[in-house]
Amino acid sequence: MTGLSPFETVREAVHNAAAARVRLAIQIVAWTVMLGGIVIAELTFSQDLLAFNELLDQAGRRVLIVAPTEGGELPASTCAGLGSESWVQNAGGRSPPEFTTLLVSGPLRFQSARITVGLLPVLDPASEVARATLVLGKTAADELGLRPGVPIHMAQRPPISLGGVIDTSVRNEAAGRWIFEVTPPVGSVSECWVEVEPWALDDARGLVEAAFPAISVAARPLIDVNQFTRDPVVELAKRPQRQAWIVIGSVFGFMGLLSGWFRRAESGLYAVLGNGRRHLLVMSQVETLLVAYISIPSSILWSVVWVGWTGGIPSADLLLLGTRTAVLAAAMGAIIAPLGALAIPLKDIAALLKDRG
Amino acid sequence: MSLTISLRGVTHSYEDHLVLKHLDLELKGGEALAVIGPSGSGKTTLLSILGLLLPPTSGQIEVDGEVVERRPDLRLHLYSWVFQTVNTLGRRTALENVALAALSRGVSRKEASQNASEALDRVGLLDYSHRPAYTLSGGELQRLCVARAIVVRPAFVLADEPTGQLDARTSSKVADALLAKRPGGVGTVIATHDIEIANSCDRVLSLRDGVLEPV
Repeated sequence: MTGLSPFETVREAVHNAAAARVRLAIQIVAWTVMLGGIVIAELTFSQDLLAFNELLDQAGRRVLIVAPTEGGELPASTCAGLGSESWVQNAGGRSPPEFTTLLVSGPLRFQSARITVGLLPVLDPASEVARATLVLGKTAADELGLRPGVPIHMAQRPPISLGGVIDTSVRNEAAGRWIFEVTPPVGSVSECWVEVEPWALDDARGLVEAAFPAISVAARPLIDVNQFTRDPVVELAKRPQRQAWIVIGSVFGFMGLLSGWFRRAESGLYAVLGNGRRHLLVMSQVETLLVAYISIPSSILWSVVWVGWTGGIPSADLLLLGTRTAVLAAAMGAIIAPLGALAIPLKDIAALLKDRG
Repeated sequence: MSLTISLRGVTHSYEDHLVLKHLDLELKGGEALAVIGPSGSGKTTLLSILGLLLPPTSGQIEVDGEVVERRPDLRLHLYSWVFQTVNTLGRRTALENVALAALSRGVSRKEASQNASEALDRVGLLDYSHRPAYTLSGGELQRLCVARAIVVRPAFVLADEPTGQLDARTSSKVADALLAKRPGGVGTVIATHDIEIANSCDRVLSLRDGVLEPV
């Protein structure tokens, strides 16, 4: 066994990097500027796509409404049970609408429906009503001046306290005047509303329909994205800057290979002292990772500052997208760059040492 | 018992050009041998074959009577090199440069540091231990390379024109480090044009037209 121990190899690389501070600083600045560039491209050009995507999500692009194809009803327990599936965010059912008379300074007829509790966050994602027996649509509550906690008088029924108000204006405007009676998931429902996780959107229809094997059901989306001329998901997947990390990663890799070539006399020195390609590869890898670890956060920081200064504060989703791009580029550079150490012929060590690069 | 390294009928050619012709050479452990000869006479090739860096076209190398092939572990155990062109890690200190050789042979960091200080002391560079290599002069750098070569106590230091780029005064300091200051038991083979340095060795051989002859 010849050469430095693994620990000493890593230590040697760190000492080499620390000793050549100017070289290290230049590498970090170059990486930071280029990584920052692609992060800025992501933050700038993907902003409206993500905003549009968010708008569609709020409108219910991931909500599917399941109903029997040949009339009849669905088991409420199966519908509510979907809420515990990993690919489902929320699920709940409702019965067909009926009419209920509210006694508010005179009898007033309102549409009402029995729902399971999981339907509340599907109808109103901002709803904080977790469990209540009576919930009112926001339009009705506003018109009647009712707020949670006030007693509600319905014809032929004892008074009941209003459990909450939900705003259905975005996902089901008509339900803004409805009265919802939250019931346990027993018996049957006429419709099951399921909001799926973003990653399950493509397969959602099949998954939902398969959840009701005993009944012939059809799932239709709450909103049809085909009615829009733009599909943000498709546009995001096809955005030109999505492959910038490959370009930048390749540039980093090329810089690493070039650096390996210019430092070939140094490689020859390590080789003549008994260190092989494995040692050179590890040292080069450690030096590259040092640069990457410092460059990634600094590039994100300066790109956020830049975007904040020129436009506005980027959203968390946008930052995540930018960070992912930066990490991918840095990872690609970190994989390619050290290969320069492998490209150096170690056979003729004497010649390598004489070669001053 | 002293180590003996022998070349038996070693021939080497680059394509059609015959550089070494059926050479026989015997080296005793601890001896200092100088090989002189004009440029292009094959001194570097001879050292490379002796140092197990280059396999000969024909002939064999024996260590204590045993034929050896090109083996990196044996090469590192037997030899250290000093080249005409100084090669150091410029930004690292003299001590780190020398200790690196010991660390590469599996010596602990503490021991490597002690040995490196001792080697720097031998070549008269102890006061420069903590200076980055790039701040040293050409002669000091070559002495640093000598310290790096002797720190691991090899059987032989193979020096390929170590004073080729130095003036006479600096050359004598490097030669002194290589010959007079080397630790006991460490042999030296120097390929050189410098007759003064050659005369400081125990034995001088001339390499001309691919043939070794005593001087």
